Amino acid sequence: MISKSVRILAAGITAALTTWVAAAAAQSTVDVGLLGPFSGPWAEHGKLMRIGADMAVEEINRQGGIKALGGAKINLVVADTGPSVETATNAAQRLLSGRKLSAFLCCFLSSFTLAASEIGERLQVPMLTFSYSDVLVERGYKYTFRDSSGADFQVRAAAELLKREAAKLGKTIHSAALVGDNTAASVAYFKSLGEVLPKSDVKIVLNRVWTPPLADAIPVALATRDANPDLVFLGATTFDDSVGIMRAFNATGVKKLALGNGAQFVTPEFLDALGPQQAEGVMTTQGTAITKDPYAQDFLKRFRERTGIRWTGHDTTSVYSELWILKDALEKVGSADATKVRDAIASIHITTPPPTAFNGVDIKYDAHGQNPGAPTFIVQWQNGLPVLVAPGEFAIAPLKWPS
Amino acid sequence: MAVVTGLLRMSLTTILQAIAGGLLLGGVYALLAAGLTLIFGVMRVINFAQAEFMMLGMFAAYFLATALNLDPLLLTLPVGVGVGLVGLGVALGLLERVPRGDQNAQLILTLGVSLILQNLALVALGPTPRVVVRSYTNAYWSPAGLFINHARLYACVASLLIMGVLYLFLTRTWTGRAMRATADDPVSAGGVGINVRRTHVIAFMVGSGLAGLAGTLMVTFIAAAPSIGNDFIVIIFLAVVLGGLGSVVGATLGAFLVGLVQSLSGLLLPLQLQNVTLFIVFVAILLVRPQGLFGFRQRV
Repeated sequence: MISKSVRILAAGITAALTTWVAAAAAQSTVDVGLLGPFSGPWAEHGKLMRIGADMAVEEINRQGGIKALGGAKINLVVADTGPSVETATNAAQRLLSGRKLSAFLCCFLSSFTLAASEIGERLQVPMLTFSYSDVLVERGYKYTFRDSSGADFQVRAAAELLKREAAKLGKTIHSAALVGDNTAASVAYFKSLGEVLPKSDVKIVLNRVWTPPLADAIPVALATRDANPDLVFLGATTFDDSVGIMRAFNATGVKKLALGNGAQFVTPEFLDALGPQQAEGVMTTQGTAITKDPYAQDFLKRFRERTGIRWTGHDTTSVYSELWILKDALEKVGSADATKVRDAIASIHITTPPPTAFNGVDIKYDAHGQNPGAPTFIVQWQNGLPVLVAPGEFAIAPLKWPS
Repeated sequence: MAVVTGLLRMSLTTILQAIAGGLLLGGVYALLAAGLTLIFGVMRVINFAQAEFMMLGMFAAYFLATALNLDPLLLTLPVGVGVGLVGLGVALGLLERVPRGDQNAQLILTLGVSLILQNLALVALGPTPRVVVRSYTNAYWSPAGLFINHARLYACVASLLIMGVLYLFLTRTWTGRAMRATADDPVSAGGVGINVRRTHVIAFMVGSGLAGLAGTLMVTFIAAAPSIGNDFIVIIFLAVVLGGLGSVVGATLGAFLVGLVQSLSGLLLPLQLQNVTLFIVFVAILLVRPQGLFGFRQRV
């Protein structure tokens, strides 16, 4: 009889221990998805996203992981969107239904992010993104969070900022040209410009939109030259188109203030293809940036040592920052459950680095999942390096007007 | 009528610029299309990997030009031969093992080769676009207010020269004649002593080598990247079918026509409709001439 009781007790202890060990093992890692374009025309951006993610994961894990989860390490689950919305949708479906993720980061291109966000919403996995399309945060989705500024805000801020800078130099901006492709990010960018510019007394004198790849950039450059705008908004999203349009501008003598809308205008390859002289003065808006904050400067140093690349843009800094935001949420909620992580992200408020070194000083999300305090950053090529020139409180150097 | 009115409103320079741009584009497409149609004409194989052979040529030119500090134009021939040898390997190792005449299997096979090459390049070389910048890359010639990029012009001229050599090869050499004979009637060609299998393999080697040549010529104005072929493959097929599947002369003219339609349509219609216009013209022509504009009885 005693023997039987001991056996039952032993079985009970074993079962309890097994459950406890299993639970501990399950929390030894927190799976976080990284969905990005690692192949196809936007693969260079995916590569830079991956570097940012790897740096953040290594640093978080090295510093003890998620302390609220007993030091659980972050395990990055990487998936490739491929080159189209269809492949991105399939990849998101596989990533989110294949294993239990606490959250995922996505996707660089707005079209891909829009598709993935629908799946994230359906499967209730929170998504952190830096994609530009404002539709992302206009649909009432509960699981989509954007830490950086979107197309509409960037446009409003950039237009106003450039008008101010022009005034300082005794110049005025009365007209603008919109030149770019018809991917979702550019369409959203141009849609916002179409609404904002007339209100700022800036007339849109040219609108040239193409389906990438652009066969020949010279006709677009000639049309821009003939329209003679004070400012050119560039919305080319592929490398060859971004380079091609700048080559054509230089050839045809379009020496205008030119503002792009993405990291493709500040990659090392962009400089290699054009050279410092042709790239000089070209600007781009960025959702996140390497500011003058000491943490950001140290990040740049570590990035250079790790990759041998002299600088990087928001592809790297956004994903890096998002992982730290996610860490904060995980620490707050003490659970890897996606729904609870979602609630933690929704109520987050970060005012210290690392995220504030790249995303502005105040990071939180409104009811739509947008970080309302995210500034628009403007980076400009100066002497062969892209430097942050606006907003002034974060800037490393003043804006240069093209001569 | 609207087209004519639209054209009349434009300056002559604008129209000439569009024509020049179209011809330069066509010159590049021509080499790719000629290789594709040569392979189809002789082997009856639709080679979906043609644009990936171009990508290999671009990368080979990039690495050689960077390592040896040579001009990619000087590397055209060696890179073309190298890519041709890769094509030879594909033909001998894969295509010749598929039952002759099984076009579905051959088609899927070349599609597989395309995906393998693209993904191998991605794994081995990474996604970073690689550019070869020479003094002529960013230089423009401006006759009469036009803007002609030197790199594109050199590529177009070199392409025309290579097409001339290809024509002489097909019409003046024994191997070239054997290819044409095999394209016309493989059974009869075998009957008169032509080694049909060998001819097939040579055709694939030459066709893929032409794509490698095109890649070398293009790398000074388009960045080498693993997925670059996706931007070209549909356009090349369009040029080949438009010109007349199997006809080298037709494919060349088809390529120039495609370049011109792309360029000129941008004058009158939104740029977003450039490729749509191309397909409308394509369908319209095939409705009238299903064999393509220049489809002849003789296929090569």
